[in-house]
Amino acid sequence: MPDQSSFKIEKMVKFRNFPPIRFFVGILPISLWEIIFFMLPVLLIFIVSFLIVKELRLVFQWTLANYTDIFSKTPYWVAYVRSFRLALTAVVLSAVLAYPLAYAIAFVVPARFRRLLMVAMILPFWTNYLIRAYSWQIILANNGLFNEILKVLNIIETPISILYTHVATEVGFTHFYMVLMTMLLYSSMDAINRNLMEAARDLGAGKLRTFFEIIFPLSLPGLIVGSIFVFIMSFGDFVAPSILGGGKKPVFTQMVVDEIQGTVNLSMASALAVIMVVTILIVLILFLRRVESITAGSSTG
Amino acid sequence: MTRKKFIVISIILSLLAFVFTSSAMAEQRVLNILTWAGYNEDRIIKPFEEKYNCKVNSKNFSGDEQMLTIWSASKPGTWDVVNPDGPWVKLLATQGKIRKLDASKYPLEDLFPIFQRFPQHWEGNTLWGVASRWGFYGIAYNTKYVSKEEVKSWKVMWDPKYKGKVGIYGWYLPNMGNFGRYLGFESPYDIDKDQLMQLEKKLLELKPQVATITLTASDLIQALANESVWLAPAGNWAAVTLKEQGLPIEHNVPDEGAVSWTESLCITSDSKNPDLAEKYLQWMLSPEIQAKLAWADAFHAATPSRKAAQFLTREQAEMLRMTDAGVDIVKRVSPRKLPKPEEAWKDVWLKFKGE
Repeated sequence: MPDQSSFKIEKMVKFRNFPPIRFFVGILPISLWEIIFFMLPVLLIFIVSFLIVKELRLVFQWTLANYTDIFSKTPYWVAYVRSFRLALTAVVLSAVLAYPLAYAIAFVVPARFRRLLMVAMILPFWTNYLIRAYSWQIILANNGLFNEILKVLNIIETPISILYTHVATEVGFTHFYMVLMTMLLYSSMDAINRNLMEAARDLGAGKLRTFFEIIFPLSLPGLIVGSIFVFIMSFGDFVAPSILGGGKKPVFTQMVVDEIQGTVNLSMASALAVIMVVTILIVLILFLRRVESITAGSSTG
Repeated sequence: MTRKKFIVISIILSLLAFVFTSSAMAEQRVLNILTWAGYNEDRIIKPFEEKYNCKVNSKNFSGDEQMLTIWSASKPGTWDVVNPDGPWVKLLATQGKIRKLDASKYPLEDLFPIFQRFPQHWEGNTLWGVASRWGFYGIAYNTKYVSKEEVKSWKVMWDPKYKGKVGIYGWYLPNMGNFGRYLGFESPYDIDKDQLMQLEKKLLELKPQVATITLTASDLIQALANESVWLAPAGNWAAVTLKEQGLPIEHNVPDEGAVSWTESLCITSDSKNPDLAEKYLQWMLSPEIQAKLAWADAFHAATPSRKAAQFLTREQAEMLRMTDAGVDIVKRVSPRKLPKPEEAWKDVWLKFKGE
């Protein structure tokens, strides 16, 4: 019998098979919501991306001009690659930091402190995202807390520029999304059947071997789902790159916002947005396939 | 039971109250204005409402494009007064969206000479808008790091000493105009292809100097305040904001000149209350209100009325350069305009930004 975590995911996998009609009736309110506030707007963006803006007005004239523009101008591609790279770095950083933390909460910390730790972790998230970004400015600025401390300790003389570089962007991403990663990892680790670990010990496996043969494979779904979330959110994030990263080396989302703010080129902005959505979809499909194959393996094996 | 009665009665009463107040409101005239921040502050609007027994509804925007988006998304007749920047006025007139003004109704002779027959507002003998607030760009700089001598020329932006210390507000129009003046283009928005290429070269050379390209003006102000940026092309108002907070920030218009911006008040062609709109325009141009607008809570900027300075403190007037000596600057600035071809300009800017 499969353990609980893979059982849940197995259910998710079954989603792919078409469920009976009564299932849709049950979720009608939520699917209506999805259709009106998500599907239709996305469709609208898709349509608008094939139109053109003349003298600040949308003209109904089908064209591929926006796309040819994007594909032919290097600044857009540079920004795209930059976004992709930053998002991948955020995934790696938050995984490296979140894994030991989730492990500690799940296996090391006594049960009675667990809830306290979780609350302590979530607490900063009661503050608005934008405000958290501006708080990082105060810490990372040239005359900010970090540089002042280094100066007092005589480690540096002139401040190090961190704010308005993508180092600051990564600090923001990692801080904002690491918690998410930790939560997902924790929930998949917590669901690991402790008997399996005991059995491994009984059979003479050391701590390291138990980790690599039991814990790591069983926490993999959490790691992958967490990575998907972190990737999608940091790829689509615009706050951290502009407030902390500074816009000298713009990321893709900043290009979208610039088209709206600077020139109100709705169709161009839509075309850029479509490229983003497609990218995210591809990543999502690739990663989810991976989750499916892992869970399929673990439930049979 | 009594409690239920009480609830029913109070609901009926509140409904009645609503009906009465809304019918009372209907008798009162309503003026709808779509403006930049400042024009709708209580100190300006409340006395107007009392004087003309009307109600002013307002909405602020933070960019001409944004204004046009809001405007075109509203029902015709929603707005009585709009507040575009100078360059847009004739464009709106051509599109038939604003109405002609009767010049004799406005105290134009009270304005500084440049604004009396301001070319962006006049078409032959037809007046389309009145100047209500203005400002000029220059270099905002931190006096701790940059000297007064250095900012006499835009050249300082390219000085290797300030590598990574230059801030840029991410809008192509003012920046490219300012650097055009540096390259010696007398009217920087009417340049040919060769001159645009020169401008592109200068911009790309500037890129390594840049610390940040900000999305909003307030992000640039923030960067100057936290000293990640030591100098930046910026409006005078940005420097005044920082100076008022006690930070060591000054502003200077380089000898090569800079560009200026002008906000205009126009009456829409589908306005339902053109008389009241006219009253509002007159109100906004009266010296006392011009002073209040100049020192608005939103931000502080110069206003075109010569008589407004007497309602400001000497210090305020000097900071805003609203004294006669300060207005000398006008000779060095070219009004911000929409360039042609706009697409080519935006491409240059895209290259600068995306490099």
